[in-house]
Amino acid sequence: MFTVAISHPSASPESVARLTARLGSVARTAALPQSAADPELVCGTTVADLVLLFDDPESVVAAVLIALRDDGDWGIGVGIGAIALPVGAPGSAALSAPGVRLALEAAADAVRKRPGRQVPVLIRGAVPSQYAEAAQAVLRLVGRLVLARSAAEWRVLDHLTPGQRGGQGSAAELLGISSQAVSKAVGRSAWVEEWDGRRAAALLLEAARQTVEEWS
Amino acid sequence: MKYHCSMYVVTIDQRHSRRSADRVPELLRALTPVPTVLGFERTVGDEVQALLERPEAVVDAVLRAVRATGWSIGVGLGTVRTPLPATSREASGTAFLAARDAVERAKQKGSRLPLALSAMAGSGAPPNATPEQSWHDGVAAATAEAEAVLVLIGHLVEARSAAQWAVLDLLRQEPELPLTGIAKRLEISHQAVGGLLQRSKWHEEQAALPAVTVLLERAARLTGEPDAIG
Repeated sequence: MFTVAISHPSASPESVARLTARLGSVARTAALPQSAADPELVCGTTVADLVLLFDDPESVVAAVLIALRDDGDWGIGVGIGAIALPVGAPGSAALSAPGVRLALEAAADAVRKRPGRQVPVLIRGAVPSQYAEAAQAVLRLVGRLVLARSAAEWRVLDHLTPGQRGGQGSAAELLGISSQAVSKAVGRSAWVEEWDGRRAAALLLEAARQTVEEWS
Repeated sequence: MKYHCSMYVVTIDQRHSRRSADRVPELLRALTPVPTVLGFERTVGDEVQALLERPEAVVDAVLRAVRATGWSIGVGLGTVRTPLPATSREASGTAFLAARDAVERAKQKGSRLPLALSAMAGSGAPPNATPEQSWHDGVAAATAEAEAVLVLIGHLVEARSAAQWAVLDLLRQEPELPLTGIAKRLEISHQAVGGLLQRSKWHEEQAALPAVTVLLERAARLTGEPDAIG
């Protein structure tokens, strides 16, 4: 029901492979629901460099934020609408499904609007709704937190498990830094705020999906 | 006993009030334009409180207090006993208890933005056929997510410079004023106005405000009395 399309005007096979690997590794972590483990990939088209399909909104949020964190300057489009892929259909047939088409158009627009200095994420529902717009706005706010982080902050955050208290001590031990330094990095990088914001974005995406289902 | 369903109470308490001067009059001035049911007033010590009906007004009040800096901000969602008294100090209901809970949580946030939102159900019973636990979980989730978005917007507001506010205040007073008009008033170039506007993240804030409203209304629907739930 959710399609995430990721585009770059001049992506190389290497940059696409790198992003694919990053998306794959997160989808396999226990923190994400199982349905994210096998996003169906439609590659090798000229319209988007990567197209991923998801059932659950948390995985959509996770995929968008991974793509933003990646160095590729990706434009990211999320489409909410029917996918109804014929099993084993060739890539071109899959791309004509309404939900996928929306995502591709959104990704293309996100790339075009890149110089506008806004977070390059666009969300389009087959039925437009206040929820889709709200989800986009929240995802951009969370995306801004992610984009603003330094490599040093990521080194700390990559050792933490969201929602788990007391993980900061073991992260400090692993990194050989003080736990104060860890909690300072956590505070400065708005890690808690990111994960709270992710849930809000996911809830709004889910509400947007329900609207699409009710009205189409 | 009658209750009016889903109202908001905003309770704002001065941080480090023992170490600093009384800033309540200054905050009350900043909150004057916010539409309320029972207006902002000092309750006790360095604390102010008001009863509000519309989620947009709640967001406005919260962001004004964030801009003022140095305040712990609590928003309570719940019911209020009617008929309403003349002032919020004399009023009662679960919205007030929720706001108390929220402002206490806000104070515990350490170096993070001291802003929290709590909800408390009116009659204490879930709507028909809703399992009690899932109802409480739903209310808690809706308020947590509204709080999350408010905090994200609060970060944008907190980070603004005086120069950025000069542009935004003009824009708020005269929404039709073009950038060149703002530039003329402030005696800076219109490129400078564009830069200030962009760095203020004003557009991001405007885009995200409906998200808070949507989430607050969702939470309000869940906390209302069983009869009132459509």
